[in-house]
Amino acid sequence: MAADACDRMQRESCQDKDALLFRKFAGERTSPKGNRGGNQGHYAVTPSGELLAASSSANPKVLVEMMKQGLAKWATLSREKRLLPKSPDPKAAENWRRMEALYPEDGLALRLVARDQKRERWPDSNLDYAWFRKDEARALLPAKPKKGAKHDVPRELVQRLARFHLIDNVHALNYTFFPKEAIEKARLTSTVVQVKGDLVSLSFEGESRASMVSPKKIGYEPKLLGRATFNLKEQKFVSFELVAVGLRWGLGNCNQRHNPAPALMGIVFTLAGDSQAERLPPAFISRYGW
Amino acid sequence: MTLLRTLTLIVGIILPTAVAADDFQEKELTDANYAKWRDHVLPKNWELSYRKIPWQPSFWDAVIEAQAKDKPILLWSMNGHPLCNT
Repeated sequence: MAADACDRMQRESCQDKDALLFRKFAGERTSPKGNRGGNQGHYAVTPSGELLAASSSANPKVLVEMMKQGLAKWATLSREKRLLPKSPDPKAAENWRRMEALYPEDGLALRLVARDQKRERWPDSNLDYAWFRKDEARALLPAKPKKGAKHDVPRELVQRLARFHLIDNVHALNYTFFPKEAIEKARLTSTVVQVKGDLVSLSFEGESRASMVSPKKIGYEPKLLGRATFNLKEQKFVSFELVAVGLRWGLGNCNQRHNPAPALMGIVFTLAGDSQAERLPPAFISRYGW
Repeated sequence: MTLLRTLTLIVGIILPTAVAADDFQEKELTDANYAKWRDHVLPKNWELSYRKIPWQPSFWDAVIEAQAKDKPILLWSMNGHPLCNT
């Protein structure tokens, strides 16, 4: 079972090996209502790229039926038809996984979830990731942490959060991020609450406001509060929470929110896990300037 | 964008009817309501059920594995990664 984004793979100009295979079967899918979501959906396919069955329905019964059909067709195919003539090259993926390669092994990877105060309809939350390199993660606390010490997190890091992570993606991926000039304020202060051995306990307090009027009137103005623990010996965070709550307004590109009127939205950052799925790159990693 | 996380249903997750009736009333973030907001936003276990499936997060990795094992592939594909920002 695989889950993957089709944005890149469905582009006709993309010559990556996975994309060539994807388009081989995705183009064959037909739906009684037309393929409204483009190539989004569920596919049962052979490693050779033969389409066994497909569905763009959200109905689980349709999906189960699709899988049954796929397995039945699989059983009728010869080995030559099922498999690629040569084993696929694992190194080929390096061509399109440049962003994944930026994963900050010794830095900080956060998972963030966004949700409205008032739920509109399910699904009503979305996930993304935020990455910090080792030196950036260290810059979230004072150089010499002592109880009571306050530290302003470097503006470029807070601005990065405000531009690419403090955005409304609650109802679907929002392709709109805030340009630099949209950031009217972005401040985050960490305070050392306690130092116990190698562990530094921190609290966070801050605020941001991002507002743009063109091409669309969009904005978000959250207050930020949080807490974290940093291990000085290992030079890494062992716990992390940052909560952002404030008014959001407007709709970015592909935002499928029904009601764009100003309303409260929360975003919570916590430590990401270490499974493959938790190492997926942030949506706007290519804008980080790494 | 419209086919969000449907595969949760494969594993038999039925949405609690309580989802539609949400009475979260907290306003601006304060130290006092910090935990309430955090818990409101963070996903409940049932919302993360789809992540319990051992998805290969890359179609190409699934092709490599399926080719080696002579197995078919079930692919869930979205604009934006289905396991991340879709």
